[in-house]
Amino acid sequence: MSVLKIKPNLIDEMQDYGSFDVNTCFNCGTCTATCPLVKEDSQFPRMLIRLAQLGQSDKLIASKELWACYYCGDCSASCPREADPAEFMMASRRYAIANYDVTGISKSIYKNKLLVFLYMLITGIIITAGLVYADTSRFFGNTDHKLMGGYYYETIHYGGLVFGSLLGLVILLGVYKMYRNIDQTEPLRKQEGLDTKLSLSVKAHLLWTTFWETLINEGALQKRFKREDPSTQPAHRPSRWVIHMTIVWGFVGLAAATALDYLVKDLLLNDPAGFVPIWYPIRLLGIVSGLLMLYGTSYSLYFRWKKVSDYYNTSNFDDWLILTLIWFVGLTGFLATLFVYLPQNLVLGWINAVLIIHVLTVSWLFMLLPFTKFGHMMYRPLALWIYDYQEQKIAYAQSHPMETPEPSPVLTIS
Amino acid sequence: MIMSDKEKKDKKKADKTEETQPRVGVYVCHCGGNISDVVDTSKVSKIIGEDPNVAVSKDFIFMCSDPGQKMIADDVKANHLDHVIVASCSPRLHEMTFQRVVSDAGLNPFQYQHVNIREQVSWVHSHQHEEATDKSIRLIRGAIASVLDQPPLEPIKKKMIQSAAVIGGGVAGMTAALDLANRDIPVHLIEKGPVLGGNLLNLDKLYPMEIDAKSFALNLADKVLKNPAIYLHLDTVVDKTEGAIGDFMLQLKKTEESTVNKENFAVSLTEPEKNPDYDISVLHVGSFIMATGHDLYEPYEGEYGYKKSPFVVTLPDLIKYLNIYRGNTFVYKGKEIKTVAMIHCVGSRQIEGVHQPPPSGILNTNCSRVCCTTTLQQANRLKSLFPKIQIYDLYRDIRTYGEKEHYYEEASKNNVIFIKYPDEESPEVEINGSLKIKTRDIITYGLEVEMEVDMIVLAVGLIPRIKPHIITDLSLPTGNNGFLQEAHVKLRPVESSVQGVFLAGTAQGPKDVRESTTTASAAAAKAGAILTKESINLSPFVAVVDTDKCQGHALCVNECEYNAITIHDKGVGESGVKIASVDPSACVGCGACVAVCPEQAIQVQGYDINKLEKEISAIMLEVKQ
Repeated sequence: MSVLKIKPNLIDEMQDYGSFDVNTCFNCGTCTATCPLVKEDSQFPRMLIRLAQLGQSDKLIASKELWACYYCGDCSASCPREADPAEFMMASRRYAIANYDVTGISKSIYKNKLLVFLYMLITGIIITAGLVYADTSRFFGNTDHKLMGGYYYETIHYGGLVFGSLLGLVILLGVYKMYRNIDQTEPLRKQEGLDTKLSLSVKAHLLWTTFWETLINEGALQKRFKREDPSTQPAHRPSRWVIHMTIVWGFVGLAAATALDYLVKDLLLNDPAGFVPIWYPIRLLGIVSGLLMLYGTSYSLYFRWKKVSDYYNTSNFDDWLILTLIWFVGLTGFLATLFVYLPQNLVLGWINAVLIIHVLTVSWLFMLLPFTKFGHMMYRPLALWIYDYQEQKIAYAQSHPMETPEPSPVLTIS
Repeated sequence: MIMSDKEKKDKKKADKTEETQPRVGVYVCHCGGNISDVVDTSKVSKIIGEDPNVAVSKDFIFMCSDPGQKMIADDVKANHLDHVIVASCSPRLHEMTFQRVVSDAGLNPFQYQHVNIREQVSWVHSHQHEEATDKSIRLIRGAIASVLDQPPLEPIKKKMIQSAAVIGGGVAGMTAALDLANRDIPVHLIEKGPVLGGNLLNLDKLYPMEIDAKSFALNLADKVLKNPAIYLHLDTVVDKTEGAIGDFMLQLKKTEESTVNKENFAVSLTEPEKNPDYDISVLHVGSFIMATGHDLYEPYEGEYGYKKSPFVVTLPDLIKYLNIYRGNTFVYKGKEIKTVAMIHCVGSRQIEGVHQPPPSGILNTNCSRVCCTTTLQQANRLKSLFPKIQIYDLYRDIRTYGEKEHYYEEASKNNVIFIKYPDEESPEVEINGSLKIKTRDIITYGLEVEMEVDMIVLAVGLIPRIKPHIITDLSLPTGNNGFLQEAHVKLRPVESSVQGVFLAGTAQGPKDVRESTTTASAAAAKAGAILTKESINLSPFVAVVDTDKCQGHALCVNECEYNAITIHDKGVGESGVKIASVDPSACVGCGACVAVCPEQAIQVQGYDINKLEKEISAIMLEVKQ
C-alpha cells in the first residue's frame, strides 16, 4: 500500500457542501453500529469521516458508501458528539459531484450559493431572448412549425439539441472521471480476485448482467431503497420510497413521452407542432407522468418545509432549488397541456408566460443536473454498477479458481 | 514480659485448684446455611465436645449475631472458659469481632483462635459433605492444640516522638507539611534542591481551574515560610535512616552543589534566626512522609529523532519554552513552526519487545496518567497563541479522564487531527532536512499515512526516582513499576508497609497536582493520627530471642529485611559473647529469621515451632467415626 499524505484542510473545504461538524467526531463508530446498510465490506459514516479527517479526498469520493446511503438520519440521531454524520454523507456526495464536474461550475456554485442565481439569470436571458426574438425561420425556411404563443418550434428543438449536447459532454466527462477514480484509487481493503484477468466473453456477460441488475433493481424498482431505508413514516404519509419513485417515474415517463412524441410527430408525420387529441396515448403518458412528478415533489417540498421527521430536518439549498424547479416544470407543463384543450381566447394572455416559465425551468433543471445534487441520478447508478461488477468479478474468480496472482498480504492490526 | 504472663497464668490456674484440665469453648457457626448446608455442624460440635479439653461445644446459626456473641460472653463467665475458638468465616471478617467479645468477657484477646470453615471448607468442598465435615473437625482440633499452647500476649507499647519529617518540598511535600503543622505537629521539611516547588515549577496551568502553576507554588511556599511549626532544610538530602515507628533517625547531609539563589522566593527560609534548628544534622521523628516525587522519562538518542534534530522536543521542554516565549508567530531555534506533531506515550505503557526500557532497565508499562491531558492542554495553548498552526496528535488512547475531557473537546474543535497508531508499531520519524512522520491509522484498518511537520513534541512519561538512600535503608517496598508501593491499594492507601512511613504524591505513582495534594493530605492525616498519641500499641506477634540459646551467629541479622535485629554484647560480665535482640517496633513478624537460626533461638511470639508442630499433629489425627 502506498503511503498517503495527510491533507489537513479537507474538512474545512467540505464545509461548503453541508452543515455538519465532524471536527468533534472521535471515531467511536456508533454511527457504523447503527447504520442499517453496514456490511462487512462497507463501513458507513465512520470510515468516510475518517478519510475526510485525514484529507483523503480521492478515496472518499471513490467509495461506494457515498452513493448507497439513503440519508435515513439514524447515525445522526445516535451520534454522541452531535457531529451529524448523515449530513456529512450528503455533503460528501455533493463534494463528489462537484469534484467530478470538469467545468468547475459546481464548485463555485457550492462555494457561493448566490452564483447559482447568476448562472440561472444569464442562461435565462439567453433562452428567453432566443425564444422571443430569434426568428429561426431565416435559417430553416419553415415557418409552419410555430408552437402555441407563436414560438418557433425549431428554436426550442435545435437550441435544445445544442444545449443538450454540451450538457451531455459535461456529463460524459464527469462520468468518465468517476470511473477513472474508482478504477485507479487503491481500495481500502485488498480484495482478492479483483485483479483477476477475465476472458472477454465472461467480462461482457458480467457487465451485461450487472447492468440489468442495476437498471431494474436500482433504477426502475429501487428495491434496495424500499428494502433498506429504515426511516419509518406514519401510515397517513406517503413513504420516502413512494415519493422518490413518483418523482423518478414521472421523470422517466416525461422523457419517454417527449422522445416518442418526437419520433412520431416529427419523424413519422413530419408535423411537430400538429394538434393531437387528449386521448392520444403519448399525450396521456405525458399527463400521467407530469401528475406523478407533481405529487412527489409537492409532498417532498411540504415535508421539508414542515420538517415532519428527522429525515426532512436538514435541507441544503440545492434540495430546495432542484425540487422547486421540478415542481414548476410539472406545474407549467401540466398547465400548458391544459391550455391546448381550453378555448384559446380564454387562455391567450397566459400561454406565453406559462410556456416561457416551462421552457426556462426545464432548461435550468437540465443545466443544473451535472452540477448539483441532482447529478446523483447518473452518478449513483453508474457507481453502483461498477461496484456490483467488481463484486461479481470477485465472486466469479472465487468460484472459478484459476491461476490467480499471489495474494498481497492482508494487513492486520491487533 | 512473657515471664510475667506465665506467672499470671500459673496464678490463675492455682486459683482454680479443682481444675486440672484447660477449659476451651468451641463454637461452630452455620453461617445461615453457608456452612451447615455442606458441613454437618451438629456432628462437628458433638465430636469436638468429646475432647477432654473442651468444656463447651456448641453450634449456632449466626455466631457473629448479637445472640451468638452474648452466648460466648455468658459461657466464658458461667463455665470459666480460658480459651475460645469460633469456627466460622475468614478471620479477616470476624476475628476482631470475637477477640473483642472474649476481651470484654475478661479473657486475653490472644487466647481466642479463629478457624475458617467457610471459605476454606464449605465453599470449596460444596459437593463433598463428609470430607468437609471431617476437615472441619481436624481444623478445629488443630486450633485447640494451638490455642492451649498460647500464652496471653499484650500489645507492645512504644513511646512516640511527636514530630514528623516530610521528604520532598514539591507540591505534595508542602501540602503534607502544612497539614501536619496545622495540627501543631512540628515538621521537618527536607528538600534536596535550593527552592521549594519541585516539578510544579515546570508546569503551565493547573487543571481544573487553570491556575498558574508557579503562582500556586509560590502561594504554598509562602504558607510554608510563615508557618512556625515547619523547619525547612533546603539543599539537604537524607543520608542515612534508621529506627522504626515512634523513633526514626534521619541523618541529613547538605548537597554538594548547595547554591541558594538569593533572588529566589524560598531564600528567606534558610535564614538562621527563622530556623534555629537549621544546622541539625540528625533528626529523630516519630513518623515521616515520603514525598520524593518523580523523574521525567528522557528519550534515548534517536527515539522519534530526539537529539538527532533540534526540532524534536519533549513536552516539558515545550512548556518551559512557551512559558517564556513572547511572539505573534511561533519561532523556535530560528525556524517558524507551522505544523506540530505531538506523540503520546513516549516512555509510558511500554511493551516488552517493542520499546526500549529506560536506563533503570525496568520497562515503564504503566500509563503516566497526566501526559494526555497536558498534551492536549498544550495543543490548545498553541492553537490559541498561534491560531494558524496545524497540530497532529498521534495517540494510542486518549486518557483525558473525568472532567479533563474538555481539553479533548476543545482540541477537536480546534481542528487538531488525531491519529491512533498501533500499540506495537510506533510512528517512524525521518529527518531529512524536514521532519517526516510515517504511521498507520488504526481507524481505517491501518492505512499508512505520512505528514511533514516542523516540530515534534514527545509527551514523555513519569518514571520513578532513582532509589534514594532512604528507600534502601528502610527496605521500603516498590512495585513492579519502581514506584513506592502502598501496603494495600484500597484498605491501606498512602501507607507504606513499613509502619510509620506514609506516601504522598508522585513518589507512589503518576498523579496530577490535585491527586498529589489529595494523597498528601491523606498521608498527613494518617501520620497525624499516630503522632498525636504519646505512645502506640504495636502487634505482639514479633520475633523474640531466647537469650540462653542464642550464639550470636547473626544469620538472622542479614535475613531481616526490616533491620529489626541487632547484635550486641550479652551483658555485664559476659564480654565477648554476642547475642541478637529484636526491635519489636520494627519487626513485622514475618518469620524469616526463624527459618535461618541453627539454634532455634529466635521465634515469633504466638507462632513458635512447638506450637505449630502440635497444631499439625492434631490436624493429622484420624477422626474416629
